[in-house]
Amino acid sequence: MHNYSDRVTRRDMLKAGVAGAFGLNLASMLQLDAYETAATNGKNAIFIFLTGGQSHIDSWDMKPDAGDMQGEFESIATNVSELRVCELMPFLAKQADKYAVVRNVSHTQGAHSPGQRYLQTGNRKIPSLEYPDYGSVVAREHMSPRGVPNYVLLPGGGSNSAVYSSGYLGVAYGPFTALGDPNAKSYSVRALATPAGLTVEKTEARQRLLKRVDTRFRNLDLFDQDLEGMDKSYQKAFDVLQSKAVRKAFDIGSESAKVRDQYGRHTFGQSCLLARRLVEAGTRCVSIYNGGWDTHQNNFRELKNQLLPPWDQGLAGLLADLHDRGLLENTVVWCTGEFGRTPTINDKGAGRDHWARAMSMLYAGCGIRGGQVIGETDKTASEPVGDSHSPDDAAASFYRAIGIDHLKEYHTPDGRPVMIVANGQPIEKLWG
Amino acid sequence: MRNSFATIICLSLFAISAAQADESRLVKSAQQRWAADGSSGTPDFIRHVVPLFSKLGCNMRSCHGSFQGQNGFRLSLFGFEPDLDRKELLETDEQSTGDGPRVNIKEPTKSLFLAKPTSSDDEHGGGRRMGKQSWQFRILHEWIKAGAAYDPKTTAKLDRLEISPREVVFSDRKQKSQLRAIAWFDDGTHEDVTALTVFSSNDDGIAKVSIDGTVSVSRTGDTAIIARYAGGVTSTQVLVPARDDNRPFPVTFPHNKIDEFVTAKLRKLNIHPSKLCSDADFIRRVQLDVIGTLPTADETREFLADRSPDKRTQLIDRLLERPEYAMYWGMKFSDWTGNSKYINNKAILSNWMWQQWIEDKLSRNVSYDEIAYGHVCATSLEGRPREAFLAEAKSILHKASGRYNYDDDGTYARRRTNELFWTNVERRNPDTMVLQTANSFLGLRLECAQCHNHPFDRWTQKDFNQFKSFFMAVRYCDPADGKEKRTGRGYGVESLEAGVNSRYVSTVRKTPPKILGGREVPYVEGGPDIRVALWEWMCAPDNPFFAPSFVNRVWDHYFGTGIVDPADDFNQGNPPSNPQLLDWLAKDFIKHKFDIKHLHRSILNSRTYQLSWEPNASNRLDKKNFSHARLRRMPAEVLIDAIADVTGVPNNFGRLPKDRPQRAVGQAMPPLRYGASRGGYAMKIFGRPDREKTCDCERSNEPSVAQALYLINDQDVVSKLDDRNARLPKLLKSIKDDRELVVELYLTALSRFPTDEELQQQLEHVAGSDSRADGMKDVLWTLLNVREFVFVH
Repeated sequence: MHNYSDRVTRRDMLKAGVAGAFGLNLASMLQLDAYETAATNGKNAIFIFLTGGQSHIDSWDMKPDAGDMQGEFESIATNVSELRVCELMPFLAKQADKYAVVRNVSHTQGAHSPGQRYLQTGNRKIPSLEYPDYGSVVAREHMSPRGVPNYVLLPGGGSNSAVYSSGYLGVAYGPFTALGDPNAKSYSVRALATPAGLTVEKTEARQRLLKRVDTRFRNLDLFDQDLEGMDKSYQKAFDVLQSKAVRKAFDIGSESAKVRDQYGRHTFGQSCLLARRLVEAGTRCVSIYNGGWDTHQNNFRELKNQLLPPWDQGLAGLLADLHDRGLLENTVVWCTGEFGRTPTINDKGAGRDHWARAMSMLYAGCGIRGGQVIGETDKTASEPVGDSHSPDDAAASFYRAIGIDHLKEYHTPDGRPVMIVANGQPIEKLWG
Repeated sequence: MRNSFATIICLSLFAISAAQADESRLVKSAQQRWAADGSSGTPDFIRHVVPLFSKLGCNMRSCHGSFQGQNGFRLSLFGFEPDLDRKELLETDEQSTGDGPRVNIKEPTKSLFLAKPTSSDDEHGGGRRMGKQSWQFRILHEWIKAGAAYDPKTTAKLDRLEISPREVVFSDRKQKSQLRAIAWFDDGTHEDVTALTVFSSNDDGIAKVSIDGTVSVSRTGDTAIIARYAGGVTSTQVLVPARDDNRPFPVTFPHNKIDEFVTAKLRKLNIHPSKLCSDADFIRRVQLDVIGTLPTADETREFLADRSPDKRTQLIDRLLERPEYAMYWGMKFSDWTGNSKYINNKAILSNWMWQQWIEDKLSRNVSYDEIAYGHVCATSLEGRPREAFLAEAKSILHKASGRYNYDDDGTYARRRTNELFWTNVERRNPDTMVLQTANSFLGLRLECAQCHNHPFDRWTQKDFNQFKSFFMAVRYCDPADGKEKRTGRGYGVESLEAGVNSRYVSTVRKTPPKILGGREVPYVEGGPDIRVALWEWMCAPDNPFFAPSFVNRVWDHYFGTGIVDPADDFNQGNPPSNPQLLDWLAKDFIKHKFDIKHLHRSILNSRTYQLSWEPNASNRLDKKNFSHARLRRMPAEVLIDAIADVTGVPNNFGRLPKDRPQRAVGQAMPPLRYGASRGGYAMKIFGRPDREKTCDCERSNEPSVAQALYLINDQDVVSKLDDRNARLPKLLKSIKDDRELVVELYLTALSRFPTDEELQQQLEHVAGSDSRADGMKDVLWTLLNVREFVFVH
């Protein structure tokens, strides 16, 4: 028998459902309580977001017969016969058996902000509701070992960097944001790094003192969910600060020079390496934002000198390393921008502009069959030919890979029932 | 005395009856009429059949009410479109059976429509919903037998739904109470529809309601029971008083009317209010609440030493005159009205112009109806000659020619209207503007009605669309000649002018503007700005939303809970916890000509606002009757400023408008525009909204691990503690006595003296530290990290 009662909805809607024992059933409390006990399905995700919009026709969807639109680059063969990629992607060319390329994704949100929110959430932007980013949903669904943050964001930077949001799930499911450049010699992570002179022992001493003096609200029957939540947040924060696993994961300098070189000595490469280290430590979702792809001008020069080489090396390094360590079986890697770029080269200075009607993306891991190309575009890479997929489908595929039902329903703070991705269907061929 | 009082309430259980129903003329309930075989007349599609779909759960979103239907059968959500429902029943359904319509008029018993809900889980995804010998079955069967008719023209429509008793007080918790629903139709008939009404409780922990409308209760408190029938929604209040423990209800002296209404409700519930809060708690609370700023150690000392009996009132008056008042409430208005990220070349300037426009109005205490006019009826010209606007724009754009230059002398801020409310790219869409305006100034969430009728209110999709037409009555023009144009966005590059946008002329003709629940306002080309009629309706003394939603939002700010809660969700399924209080506040606000500071004074001077946060045995579970102050985490900006004030190291938000303090409160831009190193990170993790959503819930005060990490060890906080020019290094020099220094730090961070125990603990720690400076730094660190610090209490 199904549950046909509207009452649960109603109760959530009014937030009056402090029915439970003492009104502690706040969303974040559920998370915090579950944290102690909940298992995980063992699956992890690395989401790589190429903000600004990567040019598909100059990377995954080369069109040698497109005449003027082809651009300045030639294609090269990969270790998969049906896939040719840009000549500036030699590292990825050698790993093509490990990933699938989807070439027929298409949508209509051609401006950065709506396009990014669409590709960061799998839902089109609407005025009344902010959808949560993938990492926040994963944080809600998959728990990490004690002291390890379950969702880490490496925000990268660069132009057109995207805004992140945990949306209707609330700040409790926001990322642990690791600012800074992991390629820098003195890399240290905000809030984790012990400032000059402040040792772990000192932090512990402060914690002990805090315990002794934080008395004002202690001996009262205060059934206050925010107070309780703050309490638990502090417990978890001290866990993170004192977690050896977390410190070790962020201590990227302890990685061998050979491995670091394999990922490439640049911000993106080392971010990918850091992502792998975090996944090993138990983080469930790492999102890497990589900006600068908005090549309205000097498209070819930018791609050649700034954008493609580090991306190629870092992503290929990540896929090879995950594969070698057996982590690819349980870790999905998804790389996409917010849209593709115009096949037509503009006259403002050899640039390509926003183009949402066709874009390409990469998927690997979690049972996704590598070495395949899904979908195709017309001869100028302007739009899909035959089947096409929406960003909703792309997001549903990501959730399928990590074992989250994309049709699962949450309630927003104001009680509106909403599915994680209501309008998408997983791209079945990924597993075909 | 108290006992007999309780008894009277108990006896009066059924005395407070809403429906003055004439029992002799009352149409009997459907349950009775079709209790047995043998016809009792033909069931009516609107009165009986469609409500039965709701009662049986058929047309819920998770079943056939889904927009995709279920297994090839779709009903309108909650039965709001009976035409479609009947059509669906009588049409051939090819998908699931391929053998004719769901209703078989010739052989009613063969109708799939009767077979499905009477069959088991295997044959009906929704399982068995009714028996074959039930009155429900007979209603559907008789209706089909009579030809499955429905004629919207001759069918009486629901006029109102009433539920009795309108209030139920449970002095005995084992007692049960049966609710009764009466529907009044526009043909003058009324009918007992209890059996066809869907009941639900807003708080199952306090009171449950069974499917047939029997209420049972479990613990102290109160909640509303909601009744829905045929598109009508109404509610009744259930009160469960605390058990009598022979402690008399405390005698208190009301400071003003507010306390009378609050106390009356608390008396009914036998929930005792807490004591008045201490002066130390008061100065911290009122400063944080009114101006978003901690009192300094000296301010606190002075206030505590002050012996005048009306010192609290005096402090309230002083705070309302401080410039931080306008900054803090300017921030709140910016939240409510949606001062979000602009997408044009004057983005940052636009955010600041908006913020400063509001601050100008608040500092001059411009009335609330006038502020609403400034938004709802905004234009660029404001009745001035075109040249005047062009000159204004030229001067502002000249002053603000660089990325971080601003309208420093407040030319825009002094204008009557805030055109920016209408000109952000995403706001050019009437759908967005109708949601925004309804939320900002009426406390309504109309997004449900955007796609289907509101499930807990009377707004239909048609109401929404007609209301939306008001928001098509602005044109984006070339400021030089007033001709509409498509390109050139942003202040000064375009002008906002009255008149229906050329894109929407035909829409407005087809869907004439209509006030929510009110009259149509004809649009005449070249005639008056129809938005003015909308505004006049809003400010009318009998408008049920305008004044109530504002006083409720201000109340919500001061108490952490609205009288209607959530504060921006006025609907019939979400009644106020204390209707008399809300009504009085709204009327008093209107009587004082929408004087915002008067409203602040009324609330802040009330005893209710000044109650302690320390609960007593009877009120510790109360969260909505204002029996004690609730702990509220400081909003992001307030907390960030508090850290700067306590450490004595100002924030750095980059270049700001002239003479603007480096305070987080009142910062105009969305958080991340400041960059992670300039406060954007902290604003984000502590839940400062981007103001892109039409919901107060976008601001979050929920705790998170990132927040705890921030306070414990983030570079922002640590660098302030380590700063050589900070407060602590100076105090270390000027105060030689450890005890005195600890006291000073407590006054600075927590606005109170330390207890003996705290003093002892801290002094011991300092004595055992490597150095005095080191130890004191730890003391200050603990004061930023005790829970007491981050909460307004």
